[in-house]
Amino acid sequence: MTFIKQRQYLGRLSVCMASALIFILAGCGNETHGQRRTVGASVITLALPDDPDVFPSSFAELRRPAVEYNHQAHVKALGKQGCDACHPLEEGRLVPLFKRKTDLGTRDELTELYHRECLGCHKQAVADGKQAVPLACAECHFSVPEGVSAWRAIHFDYSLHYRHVKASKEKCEVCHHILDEQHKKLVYKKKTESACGDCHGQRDQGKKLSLRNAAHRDCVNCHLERKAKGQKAGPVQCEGCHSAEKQLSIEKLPSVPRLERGQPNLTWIHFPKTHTAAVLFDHARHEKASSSCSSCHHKTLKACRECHKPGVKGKDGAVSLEQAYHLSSSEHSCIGCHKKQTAGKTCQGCHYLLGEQAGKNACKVCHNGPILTPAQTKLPEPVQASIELDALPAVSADFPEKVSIASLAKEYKAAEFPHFKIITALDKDVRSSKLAGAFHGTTGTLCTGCHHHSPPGMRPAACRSCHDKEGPEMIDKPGLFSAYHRQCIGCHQKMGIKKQGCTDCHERTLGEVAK
Amino acid sequence: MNQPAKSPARLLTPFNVIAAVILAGGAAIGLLRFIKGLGATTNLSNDVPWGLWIGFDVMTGVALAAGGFTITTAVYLFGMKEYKPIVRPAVLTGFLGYALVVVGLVVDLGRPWRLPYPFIVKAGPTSALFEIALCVMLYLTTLFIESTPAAFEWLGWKRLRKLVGSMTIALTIFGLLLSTLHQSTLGAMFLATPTRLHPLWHSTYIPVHFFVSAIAAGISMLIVEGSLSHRVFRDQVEISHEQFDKITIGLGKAGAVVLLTYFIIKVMAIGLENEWHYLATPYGALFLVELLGFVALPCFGFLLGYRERRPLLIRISAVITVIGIIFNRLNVSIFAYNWQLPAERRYIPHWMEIWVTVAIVTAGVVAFRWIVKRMPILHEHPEWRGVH
Amino acid sequence: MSVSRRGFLQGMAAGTLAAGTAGAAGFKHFEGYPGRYGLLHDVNLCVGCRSCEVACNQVNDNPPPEPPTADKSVFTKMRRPTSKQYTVVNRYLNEADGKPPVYRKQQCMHCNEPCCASVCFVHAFTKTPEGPVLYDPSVCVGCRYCVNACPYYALSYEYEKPFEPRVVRCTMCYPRIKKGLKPACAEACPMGAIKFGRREELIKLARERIRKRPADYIDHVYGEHEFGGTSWLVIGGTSFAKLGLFEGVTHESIPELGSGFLSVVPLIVSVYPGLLAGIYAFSKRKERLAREEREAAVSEAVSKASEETKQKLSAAADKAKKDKDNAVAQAVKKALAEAEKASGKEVSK
Repeated sequence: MTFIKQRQYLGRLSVCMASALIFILAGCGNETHGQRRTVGASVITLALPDDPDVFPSSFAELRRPAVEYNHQAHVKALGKQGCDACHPLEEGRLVPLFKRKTDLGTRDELTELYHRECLGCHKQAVADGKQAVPLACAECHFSVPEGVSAWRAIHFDYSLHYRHVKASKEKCEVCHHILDEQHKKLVYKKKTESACGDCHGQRDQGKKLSLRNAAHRDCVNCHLERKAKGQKAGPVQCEGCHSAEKQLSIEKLPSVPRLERGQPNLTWIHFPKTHTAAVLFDHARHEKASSSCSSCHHKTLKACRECHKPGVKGKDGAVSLEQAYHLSSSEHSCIGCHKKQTAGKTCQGCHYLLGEQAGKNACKVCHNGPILTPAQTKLPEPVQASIELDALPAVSADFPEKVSIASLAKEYKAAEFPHFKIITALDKDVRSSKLAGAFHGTTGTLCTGCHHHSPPGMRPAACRSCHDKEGPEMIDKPGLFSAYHRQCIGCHQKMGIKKQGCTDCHERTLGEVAK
Repeated sequence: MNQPAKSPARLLTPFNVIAAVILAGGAAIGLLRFIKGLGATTNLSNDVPWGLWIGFDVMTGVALAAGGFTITTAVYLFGMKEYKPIVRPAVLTGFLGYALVVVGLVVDLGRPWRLPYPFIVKAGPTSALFEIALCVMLYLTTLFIESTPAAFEWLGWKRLRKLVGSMTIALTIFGLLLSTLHQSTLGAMFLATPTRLHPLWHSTYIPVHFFVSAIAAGISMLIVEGSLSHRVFRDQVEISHEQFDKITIGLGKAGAVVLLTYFIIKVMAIGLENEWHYLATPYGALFLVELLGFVALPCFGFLLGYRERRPLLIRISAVITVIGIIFNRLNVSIFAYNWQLPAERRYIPHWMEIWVTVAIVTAGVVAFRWIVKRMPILHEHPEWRGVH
Repeated sequence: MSVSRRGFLQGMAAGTLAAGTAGAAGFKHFEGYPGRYGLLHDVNLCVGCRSCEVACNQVNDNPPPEPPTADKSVFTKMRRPTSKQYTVVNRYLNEADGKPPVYRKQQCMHCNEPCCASVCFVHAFTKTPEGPVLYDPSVCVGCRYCVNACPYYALSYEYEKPFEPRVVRCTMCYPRIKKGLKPACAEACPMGAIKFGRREELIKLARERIRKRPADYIDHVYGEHEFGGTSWLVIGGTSFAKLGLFEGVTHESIPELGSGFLSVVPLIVSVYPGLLAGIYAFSKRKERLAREEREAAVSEAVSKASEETKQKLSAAADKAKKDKDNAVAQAVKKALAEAEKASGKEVSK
């Protein structure tokens, strides 16, 4: 006795099975596998800032995803119409904003503007028979997995700056200006030039544009004008300035004349009423060693002390003056930059193992000026001392040519360590760098590369004086056996020296010897 | 209904000859294993120490011998008297099955003579295997005693027969208790290996999965073994085809319910640990084949067979379920185990392992045939008709 | 109340599920034997010289490692410990990150709560208070559950031995530790990439090394908590998953993972007899009630039937009597009529 027909039954069963299968499989495929995608340099994420009064953040999940707008693609599609198809003109210059002259406006106003203008143009394009033009909401507002942006900020180094100096025929006022507070006008005043980003911030503040808007307005327009006149001009597309490959292809001038802005050559860095020795700072030499002023003057071209105040950290995480000079983790501080220079292969052999310890005895290298007594108020004229590097001493019992490391020889024979050869090689590296020379003027400092924890200048102790047994667990002091190998192999690894195998340094003894 | 003595010529039937060859070969390989060590007769390695002998002979064997406790519970505890005719063959299958599991284990263990050690030398009760060993030992004894009524009837030992007959309920309860424990603990063994068993098969509730699938295995084996016996040993069978078909259909209904339950708890286990994305991988395909082709499909087959009163459909679904259980146990112990190891470190059974496995199954079939042709398994003993 | 088959199965599954979530150990927490030893393996320092393999094989009377240490082609394939080599060093390439390759030594991790010890059904493994996990071959049955379960693939089995196969693995040089020496690998490592000491101190040292060079280390001491913690601790600058270690695993030890279920076993043993006897009693009671009802119905039907029969019988008897009386009356009438006729004829003569 069947209640329903067999065929109906089978049909219903298959539907159930199929829906179960679909339901199960729907759960998969939500994960993305593999690497994160790269977002091109000309892709702009159109995301409006929050308007907390109007649009509480608790509704954030209901918003559509931000639009990833490909400027390059639109230029390709609309190129013939010219930039003013989307960008309005103000006093003959293009405003680098879409269909508006300022960035001010509420969220709703901006949304309405984009929708009206974008969709208006898109509808026209569809009417004209163009393909692949998005019209529905989700065709622009679709969520994509987070990508890695290929956009790179352009670094205006001395070479690129000088090319612009030449192009503007050394008329600094073409680009540089300051705000005359009294007359509320932009004027040019000599010797007040500085980086654009020193005044122009992340956001528009009234008439003071954001760095992005200001730079685009001035840079791109100038390039366009020069291009129109048939002169050699910089890029007008996003990628030209902001993609890594194009940045590498920017022509670099071999020598650039010094920018004269009234900066000192040699100067003292000193604080009255302190006991610290004054620091003789060679500004001219440091200019040559950096790529642009903002390597050190990261906010303004004034002296460090104008913004950084001595004493403990200020509020808002402000960096104190002492830290501004000495913080080894910063890229702008003296110590930080010097430390970065030791990251190369030639220096890392010693500097990797020494770490922070390398700078412990180096204060005098910079603090080599006079210490003023309370009575004295004036420092003498700064005079550049020439850096005299000690010549290497001759080979002697104190400075051996070879050291036979034999105390642990068992499975392997003694290692014949070419002591003098290594020091000579290191000495040669030191002499090739002025910075290294400043710190390694005395041979003793080179000794401390391997003879660490020994005061420089004396005949340093042999390794086995300190490394005999392993230290207790909490102290990371290896025994003599590990100390030799860690020092030698570690240095070779960091300096990229091929000799790292056992028999590269000591031969095997004959036969197997149990340890 | 005893068989007359056979003349030597009649012993050389094709089945007997083939079985003899297989068994002789199996015995020879067993001997070799004990002379030269496991390395000479298996492809086991340090990465894969459990191969076909554990995966099939022990784990699948225990699952497929689960018909015994299933049917004795149904008949004696739940009072489903209409299934009484299949109790004795089921218990015999169970007993022979477990006995051969022990044989397979003895061949695989490194030092099988030490098998009693956990109970008499040093116990390791933190181990799932300890509980399995204890339960299997006790359950083998239980099954043995449950098989003795037929033997005592055949031998005419009335007092002993009465004695073991009175123990039926206690033995059934004990059997269900022990079976629940060791069937689920065979799955619980893999709780200790969360990184080595593929997440689709591994779950905190793997013991429940193993137990429910064991019931499904038992029911399906009852159908398969019963159908085969009724065809092969036709002259021993007492009940009519109609009655047997009714039994088959009833078992099919039960099988549908159990397989549906199993399907649901397997899907739940994936959802519990959010493992859906694994279904889109090759192992996911293997899992879906197992779940859809060997669980969902026979479940529908059972359901359809029950509604349409078609014993043939139920038998086919039972065969598919049995293959599915074998598939599942082999997946858990071999195919989906060590799933992160590179291919060259995975395992393929040695031909000697396969031969020994086939020999063990053959031994079971031969013993079953011998007993069924002599003892009142498929029919009732005339002196004990109608007795409990 | 009788329990249907379906209800029984569901109830049992639910019960097992519910009980399975309860842990066996309750709320107590054992930190491990205080002062136990461990080893810190700094992967940044390992250069793949394999001196540790040589020393380990020497101390354990194994043949020297194949291929010899000078042969660097050994690193083209990943190796694992075997019955003749209790530790191996593998090379892990790092080309994707543009960094040089990394080497790591692999061996038994001597876990705080060892998986092997908990799965052994003859208790052949012991976690010593000093730290190493030891194996007792005198009770081992050779089931190889430990070899199958170890998440670090650290155990090996002597398949080539027919009568005395053992499970073999690194022993942390327990005899040497008892004598106050260091394990052979720690002694032999030229770079000091293996440091032997008390586990608590080594963890502090590891953190100190990480703190001093944050750019060179991942801020994680592997083995501090993984699967309850191990005696071998690993630190380095490459993600541990790339070094063949399982990352993101639970801090619960493997014995704890299985103890939830095993704690249900005594529960089943104690509850089942009563439950099943009860089910049997219920089904028997149902049978008995059914039988009694059936008997009552039968006897009622029988008595009803005999009543009807009696009535039918008396009615038939009445009818028969009536018929007989009628027949007699008829016969008498007939005889009288004939007699009259006969007497009439005689008078007329």
